[in-house]
Amino acid sequence: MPVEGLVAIGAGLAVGLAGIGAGLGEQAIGAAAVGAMAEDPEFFGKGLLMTVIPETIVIFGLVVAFLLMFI
Amino acid sequence: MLKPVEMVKVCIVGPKDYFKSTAETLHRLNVLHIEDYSGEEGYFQIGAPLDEASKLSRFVVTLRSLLSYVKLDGVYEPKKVYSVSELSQVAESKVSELESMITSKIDEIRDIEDRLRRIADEKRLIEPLIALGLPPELLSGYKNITVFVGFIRSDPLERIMDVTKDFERFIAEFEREYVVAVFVKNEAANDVLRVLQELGWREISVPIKEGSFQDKLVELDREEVELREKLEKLRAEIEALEMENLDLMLALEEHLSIELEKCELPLKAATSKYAFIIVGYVPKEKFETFKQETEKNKVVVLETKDDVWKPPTAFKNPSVAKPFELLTTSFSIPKYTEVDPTTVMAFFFPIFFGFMLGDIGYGVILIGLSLWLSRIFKTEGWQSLLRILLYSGISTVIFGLGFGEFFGFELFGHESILGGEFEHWEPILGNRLYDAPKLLVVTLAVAVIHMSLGFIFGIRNVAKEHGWKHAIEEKFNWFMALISIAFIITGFIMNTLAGIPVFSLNFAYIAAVPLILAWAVLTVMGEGPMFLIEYLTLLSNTISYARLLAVGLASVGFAIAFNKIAFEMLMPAGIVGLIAGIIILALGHFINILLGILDPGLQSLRLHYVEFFVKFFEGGGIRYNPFGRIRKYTKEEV
Repeated sequence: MPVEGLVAIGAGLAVGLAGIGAGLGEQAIGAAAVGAMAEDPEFFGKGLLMTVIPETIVIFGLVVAFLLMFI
Repeated sequence: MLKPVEMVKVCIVGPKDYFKSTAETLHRLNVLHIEDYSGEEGYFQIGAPLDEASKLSRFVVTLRSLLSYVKLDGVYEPKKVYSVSELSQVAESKVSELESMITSKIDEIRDIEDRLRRIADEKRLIEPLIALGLPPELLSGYKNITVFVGFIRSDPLERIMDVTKDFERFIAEFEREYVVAVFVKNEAANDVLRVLQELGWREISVPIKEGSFQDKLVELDREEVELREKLEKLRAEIEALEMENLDLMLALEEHLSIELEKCELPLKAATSKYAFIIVGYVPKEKFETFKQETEKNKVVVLETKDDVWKPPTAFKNPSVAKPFELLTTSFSIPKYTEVDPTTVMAFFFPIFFGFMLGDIGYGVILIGLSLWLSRIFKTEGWQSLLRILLYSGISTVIFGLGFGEFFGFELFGHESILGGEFEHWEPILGNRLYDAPKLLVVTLAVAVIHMSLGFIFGIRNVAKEHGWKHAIEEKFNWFMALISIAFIITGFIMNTLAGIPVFSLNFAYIAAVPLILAWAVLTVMGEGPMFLIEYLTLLSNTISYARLLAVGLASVGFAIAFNKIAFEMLMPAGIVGLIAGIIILALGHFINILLGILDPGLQSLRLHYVEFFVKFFEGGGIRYNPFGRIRKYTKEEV
């Protein structure tokens, strides 16, 4: 698996920055979802659904990292 | 399996005189989900509870408050089960007997708690006075002198000097404030009080006139200890008394609650002057027996087919899939007309979980853990959760064999820890680190299959509820979009493998074009042009399944890192290194297992909730909740 140095840095940045972005997105949603769940536990499913929506961005980052490293 | 239990709507009509016996039968049969009568139609009114209801509810409240002193876990098994006839004779006298026995003790406890509160108040007064250091005799009993004793924010010395020169002040620090005693002549008292008040003065009323504050404090402490002992004893006595009568109390509580439920049944029924009507839903297969049994009470049971058709959802799943109902319901209860996705979830959830964790060692630990915990936590929710964990553990072991991983070590392939023959073997599913691109393609294929299933359910749900036109314009178009995405990804992969520029034309790209066109036309017709942008959402949904690989790689990465630190860096460095290595190894794998339960579990759940359910699942159904209950502490004679 020979990976040129800069490509590795690029792959790392793709995952890392996407992670930071998703984290920033999730913090507000997560707080609101926990609040809603404290009011009514029935919100668990919908709360989880809303919270993890920004997470897909990290997967994009990951896919980009894969494309960089393997292709 | 995919559909809930089939229901029929029934209507029970009879004269009011037979209401009570009908209520008895309905409660015993425990199959009728009653639809509350809203009382909007003029002639029929909501019924009034039977006469005994108020007495019964008083008894039930008393019993429950008595029972609140005993800590019961959810799985208490009664030693004696009382029969209903036995209970109904003694219920009244027994409840008052138990009440009088326990109430006197409860009153005593309340008195003691009162006294304890007063002691605490007094102690709060005495502690600052001890800090001040003046004996109680000096703080009161003057004719011409006024004494101010209290808390203050800052030293009032200079401010008082502005008002009068004839005074004496004692001050001490106490809990971020000062406690102060000021002695002034009566004439100056008012002026001094004003000054003190400006400095946030709060008076302390001195609790004793003579003796010493220290002695008083010791006395109070002693009294407090005595009272607390007494309190503990009383509580233990109550608990012992209740434990002795526990089975009886539980039986009474159950019996009276049931009687109360029956008495309050008219609140759900429509009644006129002489007749009553109860409307509800019964599972179709039980309808005949239900009809026969109920009609013994000289009432009429009819199957109705009126406009209001809102049957409750009763899950009907094979027992293997039952635990997964917990996950479905925590999203929402499926509507009666909807596909119940529990069984599909029972199939895919463990597979996703296993694919992500995929390690024989971790899988065995998960299996052991779930079996062990299921002996400790007996409540229904925990049992379901642990059963899901067990399935996931088994799946983890199977995928672990496929990937050839054992606590992060490779079992097969050229780095095999087993050595010898195994170095020539290849893991069936490939090595997750070196074959990552191949597995990425697998996850995308899983995505297409999983979401296709979702769209097929969606087509069925919409077709059933709104007709085929809607189904084709709202769900089938997206199904075609998904297939076009599959073709595009295939084209991408083919070009990559062939080593030509990724977007050069090939047959897969061409195959996607008519699908995209058809999707676009249907979407514009059905939902409007704004929805075309949702194609990207679907694309991101598909790529989202790459997490199946990503989470797995993270757990492999952890395991390999810890193994490397322990075996290659620490252990060769002598005895200290050996010990440190073992600690690192244990700690690292412990953390990894913890993450290995949490993360694949959550991610797998997310793939179902976000990517799968939204394709078809609206939810908002009514849970089937039949009138009646399963008796635990009492039994009925036949």
